Amino acid sequence: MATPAANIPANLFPAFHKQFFVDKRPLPDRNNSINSIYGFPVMQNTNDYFGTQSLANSEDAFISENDQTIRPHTKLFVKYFQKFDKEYNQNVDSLKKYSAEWVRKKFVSSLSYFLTLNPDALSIEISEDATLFYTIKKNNFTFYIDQYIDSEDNVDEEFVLTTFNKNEMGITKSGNILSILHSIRFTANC
Amino acid sequence: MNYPAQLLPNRHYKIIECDINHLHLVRHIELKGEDEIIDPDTGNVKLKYVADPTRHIADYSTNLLGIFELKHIAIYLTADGKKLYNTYCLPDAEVKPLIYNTDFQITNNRKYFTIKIADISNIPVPFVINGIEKKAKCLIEHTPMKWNFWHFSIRWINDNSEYLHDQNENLFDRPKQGWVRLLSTAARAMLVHYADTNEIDYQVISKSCYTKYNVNPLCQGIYLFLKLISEINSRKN
Repeated sequence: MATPAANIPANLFPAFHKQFFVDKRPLPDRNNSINSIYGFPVMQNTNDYFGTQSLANSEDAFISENDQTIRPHTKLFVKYFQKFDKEYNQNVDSLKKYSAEWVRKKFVSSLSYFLTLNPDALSIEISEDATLFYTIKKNNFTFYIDQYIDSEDNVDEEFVLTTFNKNEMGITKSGNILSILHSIRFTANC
Repeated sequence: MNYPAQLLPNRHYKIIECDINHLHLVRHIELKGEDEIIDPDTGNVKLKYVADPTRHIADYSTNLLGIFELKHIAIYLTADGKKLYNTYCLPDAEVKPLIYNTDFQITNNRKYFTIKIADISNIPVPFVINGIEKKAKCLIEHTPMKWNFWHFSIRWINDNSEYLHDQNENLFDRPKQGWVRLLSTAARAMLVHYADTNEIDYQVISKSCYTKYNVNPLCQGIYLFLKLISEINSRKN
């Protein structure tokens, strides 16, 4: 059965692989719903790598055992995780202050939030400033987000968001993931 | 191989201060391995080829496209060439032409991107700090160098007239805080947003914008004659 876990290194994310609740439930919008499986990572564990209530409770964690297809967000999750992993391996020097696990945890947590925006396009780069640099396109808007992954003490200023409405530059502000997400939703009306 | 003389400062040249919003800036890209310049998902030039790290964009080197042509991005200075020529100078400085292999070489591995000046010049860059909205702006400044009269700097200035590039280096280090962090992050987003690798039809700057006087030989002769008379008169007085 295809799962995101198959594409996420087990040595780095053991909890993701081992602690997974599954339950058979009907899927309202699928013909083959009877054979679908609902799965979600364990939220009580501090080492979970979805790390967010919103994703664990959303439909994004649906996977199908019948047709081997993955729900769109999960496919995207895997795609961006693989992209990130490649990026990480190419830029490991600029992140040498941080453990690989810490950086990946930060990325996975942010990505799971950003995917809830249903972005038209999304990219991730690791900058030489040791930030995770995301570009999100949604409804004619482009959002550039720098994630400063210093420490837990800095979560209220962890992200810096710059917005463009087509070619008109909007305001730049810092904040935590929820305030940044709120700004994006409000601006792009999504 | 001769160095293109049209790139060097010249005693007839002056600092470019006229309106150049219709022109473009160009900057070379050094590709890293087999990488793509463009991110396939967003269609943007990748950050690493444009504006990384942020301390490099506080005073961002570019060239004015026109007399500096796309083929000139292949020029790179040797270590010795950098020592002698990679320094700022007056626009009318007398500079000895660079010597091939000693001062400069040619590489075919470079790509480039362009930015339309009108997209960034004097454009306000608003940011919020401690709940208060501030406005910085982007400036395009002519900063001739000994190897290249057409060298331009993209700089950022806040509403207290403080230049980003004048700030202490350690403000760019971690933990990066305050307006330096916000403005430098906004600045690089701006560069990524407007960087363009497509072929463009670019215009060439008008001669009167960079020459001290009309270079029509007759006019130049009259100008020099009048200048000489003026100098003689001033000495008599």
